[in-house]
Amino acid sequence: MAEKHYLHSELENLVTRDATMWNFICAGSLDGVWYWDLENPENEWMSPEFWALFGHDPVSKRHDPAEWQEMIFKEDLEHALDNFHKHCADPSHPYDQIVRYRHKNGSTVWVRCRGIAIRNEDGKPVRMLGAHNDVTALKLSEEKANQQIGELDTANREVEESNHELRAFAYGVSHDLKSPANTLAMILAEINNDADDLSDKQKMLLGMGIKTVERMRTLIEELLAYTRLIGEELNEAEIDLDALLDEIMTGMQTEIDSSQTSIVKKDLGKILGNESQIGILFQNLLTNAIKYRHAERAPVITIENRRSAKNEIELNVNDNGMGIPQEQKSRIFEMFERLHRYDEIAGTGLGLTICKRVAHNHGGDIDVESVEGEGSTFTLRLPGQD
Amino acid sequence: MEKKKTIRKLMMIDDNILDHTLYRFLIERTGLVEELVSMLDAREALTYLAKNHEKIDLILLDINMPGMSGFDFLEEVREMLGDEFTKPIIIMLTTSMDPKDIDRASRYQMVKDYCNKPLSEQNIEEFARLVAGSQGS
Repeated sequence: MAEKHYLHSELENLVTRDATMWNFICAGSLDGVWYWDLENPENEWMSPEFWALFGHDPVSKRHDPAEWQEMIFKEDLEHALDNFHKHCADPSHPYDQIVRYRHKNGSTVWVRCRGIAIRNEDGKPVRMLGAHNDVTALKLSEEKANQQIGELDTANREVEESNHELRAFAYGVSHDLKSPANTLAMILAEINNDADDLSDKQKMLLGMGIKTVERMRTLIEELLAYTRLIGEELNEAEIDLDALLDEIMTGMQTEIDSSQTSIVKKDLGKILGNESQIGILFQNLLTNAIKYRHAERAPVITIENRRSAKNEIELNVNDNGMGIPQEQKSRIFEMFERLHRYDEIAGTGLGLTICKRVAHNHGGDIDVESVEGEGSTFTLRLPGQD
Repeated sequence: MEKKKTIRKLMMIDDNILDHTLYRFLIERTGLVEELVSMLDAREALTYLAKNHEKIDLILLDINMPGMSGFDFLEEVREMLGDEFTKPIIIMLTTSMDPKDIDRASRYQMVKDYCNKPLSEQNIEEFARLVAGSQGS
């Protein structure tokens, strides 16, 4: 066994010989000490600090456990007595609990109460020495923190509920708009079938009507696509990006061919995500790269998968299109924002909003770097995947 | 009887090309407008205005337009002509019912009204009265 440090032995000696040391420990680190005669249980000595903690003048109190037993919370007394009996029966069971006392001014005092039984030669407990520590401040801040957590929970629930409601509303509205828009499209198509009898002005107006209702239907479809993405359960799985891109490109074959677009896929590999959402994102980015192509050159689109040092997924879609003016860059992801007139380049202003939503649904983000007249690079960043 | 053409020159700034065509029909029917200037782009409208603002009685201004929005346009006009000018009168003509937009528009002295699309013949009649009133004063 290791030799006892000389200062340790000295301190033990000091405490035994010099009562001021004992008083120093009581006053400096404890909020009350008690010493109980278990053979004559009506006798219990309580230190002055013991009573001061509860707002009482020590002189007014007898050295009798009945004095504190009327101040302690009843259910906490039961808990303490239970521990007391267990500790007496088995020294390895600690007498250690946090109990509440009623302060003279009516407030609650939280006390950590620890004790140890002193046993005779037969192992029978004859005395009990205990100490109090005031933990009221800790308990109060804990209560306050819990209350704040509770308030946050409530606020979160409310936000979730109203999000859910808004989603249902947006979905309902777009869905219900679909039916009259479809009917209108059919009415106009029917008139168009007998267009021979119409005047030139009527023919022109009919043409405008058909175009407008088509625009409306596209807008409704995209709004539905967007609202479906809000709060949808993600159901992530492994996505083979090469296969997914091939599928998307097949669907876009007409656009790709007519614009003479070449698409280069570089080392795409596999990622974890929701395949249908990631598909919608790439479809939008590719459509944009073709739609906003440069007037004087055929589109070249490069899609690349880079893993950063943090194992973050970084998917780049680069084009050689018209690019985005620096001062407009922040607008393009905003809902319904457009940089072009509809008659110049048709669109709803929802495509990139949808992309951003998909990125956010995956815990990632999407961003753009662009030089006007040279091209743009959209970057989808997804959090680390193993 | 030929109605008096109270509005000699009306400028319409709106990015929707189809609306321009339809408003032209409607405005012609009222017989209250002598000349209609159609602008698809607020920036072009600004260039035009720099040279001709005294000749224009009324501007119908859309808010949500790509490139330069209606509010961007108002800022530029204020820069160019100051806040005090009385000609032309500007009226917002928009699908936006957002109270924030309405409030924002009201803070420009040159904006005399805020009107929701679609435009009607009655609207044009009201605008004509506004123009007549501002010329009388």
